[in-house]
Amino acid sequence: MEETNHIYSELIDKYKLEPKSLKRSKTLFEEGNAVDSIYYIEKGEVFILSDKLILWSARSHEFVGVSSFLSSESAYRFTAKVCSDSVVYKIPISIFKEELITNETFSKLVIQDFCKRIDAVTVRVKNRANKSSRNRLISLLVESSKLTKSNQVTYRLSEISSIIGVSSRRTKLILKELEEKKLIRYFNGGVEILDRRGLEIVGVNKF
Amino acid sequence: MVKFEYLKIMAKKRIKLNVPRCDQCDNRDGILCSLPMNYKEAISEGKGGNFYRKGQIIFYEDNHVNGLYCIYKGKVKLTKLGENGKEHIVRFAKTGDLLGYRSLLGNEAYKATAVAVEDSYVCLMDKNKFRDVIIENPKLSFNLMELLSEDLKHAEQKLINISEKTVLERMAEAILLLDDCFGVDDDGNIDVNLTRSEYADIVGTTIETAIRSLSSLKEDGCIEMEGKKIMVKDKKRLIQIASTLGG
Repeated sequence: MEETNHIYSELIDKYKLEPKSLKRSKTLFEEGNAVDSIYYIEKGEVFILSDKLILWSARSHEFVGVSSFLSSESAYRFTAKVCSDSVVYKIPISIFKEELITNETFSKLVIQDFCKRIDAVTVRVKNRANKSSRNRLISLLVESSKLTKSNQVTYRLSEISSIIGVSSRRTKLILKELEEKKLIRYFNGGVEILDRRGLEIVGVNKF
Repeated sequence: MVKFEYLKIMAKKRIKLNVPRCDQCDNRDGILCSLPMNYKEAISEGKGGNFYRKGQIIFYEDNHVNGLYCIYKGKVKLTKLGENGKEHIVRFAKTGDLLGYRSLLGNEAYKATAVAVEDSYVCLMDKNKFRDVIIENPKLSFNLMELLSEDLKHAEQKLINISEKTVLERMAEAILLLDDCFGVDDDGNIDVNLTRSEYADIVGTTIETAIRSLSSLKEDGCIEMEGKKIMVKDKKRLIQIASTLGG
């Protein structure tokens, strides 16, 4: 992790890139726009959406827009929207390409980031086919909480529904069931996990 | 040129096989095929290979990476294990495709299990030699990133499909993809034999629903089925069904 941060800091210093603070719901780029930049997320979380479907979320020290740049199309394949208040760096395509070709460590990091992303999407597809909606929701809450090292998961109801792939009504029902078991507290704008271990156990067993 | 049938016979007799070198390989479409000759020779040094019968495992999910695999001849499926022990097919690979590159590049254990779908010959390249070639060849590194980008695109499309399309639409799309990936054999059937369970895995549904949707496509005149063999009769109609905007 330290090596990763060091490489990104070097890149930022080398090209004198300016950070941008973005509030929740701000759009980084829209599907169909011409690809002109890659975004590096220093802090926060960004959703990648296809129509209204959340495909995945990019978190701290990850890139957004790379796959659109590498694909044969010249437009962004998806829309990127800020999920929680974030700090991002906009890297012009010319700089990103230059670093990819000349900086071996940097290209290695980008490749590793890609591999992680493919795995995350593949696992989601696998879970959609194999896991119940309840277990997918529990997994989402537990994983998000572990990644952010917090008991608060600041996804809205519509965002949770989109990620797990069920209706908002069904999502609300599951959240209510978990709340009745005193495992979570659902509030407007997020979920507070009261008993993470209990949630994990429930996710494995049926109730 | 090493003939595939010869390799099968030698494997049966357990005679040590002469692994085809990369510069002597028949395949021309793989990502490594466009490398300059000296790099192909470097990769060929210490290269091994094995003959795998249909159903044999080439590598297991979560096993330590021991090298980069390249399919000299055959067809392979990559699967992940679900929580309930159910297999989930991630993708298929055919002659000339690489296996295990993501895990090698990502410096992690194998992310899926590779299983031979038919009798296959798979080459194994030393991982350190491959890494050295990438370091010396920025163009290869870039090409690999493009390959990863395509993988990501397919994974994302699969997620979109499973969220937005019906089982019938997904089945139609799956048949089109298999047709595109493997082509047709001499009889005009898709050149891969999959079980109904495997079709169910690809589409993300139960075997019963998969059978019903295949029967529905057959009744519609899009496909012909005989045992495990499927022939695409009306590609236009299949595309129409696969598209959420179509009929």
